[in-house]
Amino acid sequence: MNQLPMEALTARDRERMAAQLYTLLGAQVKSYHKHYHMGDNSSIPVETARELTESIWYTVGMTGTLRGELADLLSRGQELLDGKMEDAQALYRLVCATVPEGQSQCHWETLRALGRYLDTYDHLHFAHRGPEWLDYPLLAPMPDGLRGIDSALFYLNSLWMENQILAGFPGWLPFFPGNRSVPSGTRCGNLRKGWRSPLPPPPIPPPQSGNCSPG
Amino acid sequence: MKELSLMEMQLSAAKEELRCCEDLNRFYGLTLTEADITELVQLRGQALKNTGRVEFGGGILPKLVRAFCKSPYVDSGNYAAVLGDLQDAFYYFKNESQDRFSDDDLIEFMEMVFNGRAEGSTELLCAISLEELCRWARSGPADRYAGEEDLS
Repeated sequence: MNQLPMEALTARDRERMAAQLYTLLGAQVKSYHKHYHMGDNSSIPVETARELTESIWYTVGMTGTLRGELADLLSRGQELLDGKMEDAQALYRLVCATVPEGQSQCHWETLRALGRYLDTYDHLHFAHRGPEWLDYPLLAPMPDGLRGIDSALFYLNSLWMENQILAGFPGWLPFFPGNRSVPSGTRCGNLRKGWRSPLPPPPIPPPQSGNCSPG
Repeated sequence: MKELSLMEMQLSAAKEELRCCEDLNRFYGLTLTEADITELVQLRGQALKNTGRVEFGGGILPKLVRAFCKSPYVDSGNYAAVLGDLQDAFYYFKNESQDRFSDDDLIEFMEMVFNGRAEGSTELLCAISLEELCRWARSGPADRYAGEEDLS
């Protein structure tokens, strides 16, 4: 994701980009030390420099272009990231508010991990870092290469979709009052204790005339 | 005109910053020749490589010059060599302390040990002060200054 058209750059463009990146990285290092209250430091470990560089490319990748000054592209990317963070936080609140009761421990742990991630996500220095410890299996697998806040958004979207799907079966509960009634192999453990979802139940379709019931 | 590469630009900036300390050095009766400056800047690159660090700007040498030029243990004969060793020690300590000290704090500590217990020996500075550095890192500001007498 966020692949930049690096191949389209000429050798001269690449050189110019490298010079801009060096200057930008210097500024990012200062900002990183200031942000984490580490005082005035002129040097950083190579691993941190690599991560800061990765974050710059990820953020610049948000803009989808390499035209213009790298510093401007970074600012624009950070604005886009700000918007995505707000989206993710709103979606997180929505997902938390619509979780079916009786959800598995794994589901709650995953939600807590996502909450911690959104609390601590540093879009200025480590924008490429995605959430960790997300064990709850999704409806659809996460696409390869999805990183940073994009991976959190994908995860939250999937959870929200799952909540919506499950909210569409309110009438299902009475048929499965306990574990014993659940047919073996049916993955409906989430549905045992009812709902907290604010969504209204879907309307019951009226019986159609002319239909014959079996028997 | 051939454009300078990033590395060349960095080396030039580092040399220029060291040349700016000339007045201060002269005030304390010390000199850094152009050959010394070139060697120190090259040693800086090697020290960074050895410790797995990246540096931006002119480097740490100007700060080391400002801190150690007034040391009673340096003279024109050993000045460049001491600065080279101190530079190595600085990056080593920086890694050892996991960047928990700012450059100024670390230099202050090195200066304290170099002029105190180590009596001007960079070897002793590296050998003695690692433990003290860890103690410094673990202790609060009040404890640090309480332990200053022990270090000197």
